[in-house]
Amino acid sequence: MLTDRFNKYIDKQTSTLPLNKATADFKAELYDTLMSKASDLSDAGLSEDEIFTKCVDTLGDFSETKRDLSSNPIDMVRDGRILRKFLYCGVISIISVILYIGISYFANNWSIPAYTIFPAMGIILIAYLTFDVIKHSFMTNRHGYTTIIFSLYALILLTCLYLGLAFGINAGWAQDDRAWSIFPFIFPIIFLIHITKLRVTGKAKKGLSLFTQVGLTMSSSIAVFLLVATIIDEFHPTWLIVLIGILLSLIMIIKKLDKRIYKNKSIR
Amino acid sequence: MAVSSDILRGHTETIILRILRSKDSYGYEITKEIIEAGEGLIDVKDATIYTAFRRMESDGLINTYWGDGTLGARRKYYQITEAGIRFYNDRLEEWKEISRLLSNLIIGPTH
Repeated sequence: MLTDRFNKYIDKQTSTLPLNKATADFKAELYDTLMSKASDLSDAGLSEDEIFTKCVDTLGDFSETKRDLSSNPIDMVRDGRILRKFLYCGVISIISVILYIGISYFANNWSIPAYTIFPAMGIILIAYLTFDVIKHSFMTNRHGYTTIIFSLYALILLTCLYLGLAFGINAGWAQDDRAWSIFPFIFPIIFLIHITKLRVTGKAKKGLSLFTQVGLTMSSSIAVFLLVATIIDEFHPTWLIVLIGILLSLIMIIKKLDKRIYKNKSIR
Repeated sequence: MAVSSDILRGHTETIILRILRSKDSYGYEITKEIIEAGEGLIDVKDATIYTAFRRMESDGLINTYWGDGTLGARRKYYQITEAGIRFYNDRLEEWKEISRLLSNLIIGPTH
């Protein structure tokens, strides 16, 4: 039925808005508009699918209205869904503590369960709390938090990798606790996440900024230098890797300046 | 000849206030009236009208109330305020002056 289809459409369009009177009024107004259009089109001999499509197409883009409706921070606190989310987090935390105590007591080992259960709980909680934010970001095409959240995921994965290398793998390198040298990779990873976000959202049409290009190059060269130098235990001459990074960065800066000089000449 | 809805940019509020001066109305009816007055050549989306409503309501140019809509649905009606009437009159005078100047520039001065 058309009314059900309109209601489903409206619920989908407003799923990211806070549950308050302003949203309810907006939904009611949208529903009335769609029903009025459908009523006008019903005499034209169109099928239900055609009426639905015509009605929805002529609505236009309500992004600005939705931004206005979701911009009040106090609504986040009053939203029952947020409260429910935090209560679920409490449930997951308590279950993790019960599991830890139970497993540790019966296995008579209090350290391995701590290294596995609590990081797993942390990952589940962070993924659960941030999933809606990511979903909302992609639905509204507003990515103020996307880079931060994915960088947090990357940091957690690096930490798990570190714990696995430092404690889990019986390798000479790990036992010397040189596993810390993977942490500097968080910086090039953050740049890569930022670049991926720009490409996916179509905001990199004019190319990447010089800061992003140089930042990725320098952070990558420093991270690779620290990793290689730590593995082979030779900081000289591995520091040449950083020098190569500086060289590549200078080339990028020169190319950018060349473009600017050429552009200024063309204008004159 | 189809005309871009950009032609309404900057005038949407004035047009809506002109419609509300004669009677209270609701979103879809106002959109329909604009399309009809535009002789079907101007494509107006409901979202544009609703964005203008929110702006005008926060500026105190219009009030709202709820009534009955199609098939028992709630319908939001808009009503012009005194501030809205003054705003419309000011914009009307501005439009008359601008259209006279543009006419001079595009067609040529009329003596």
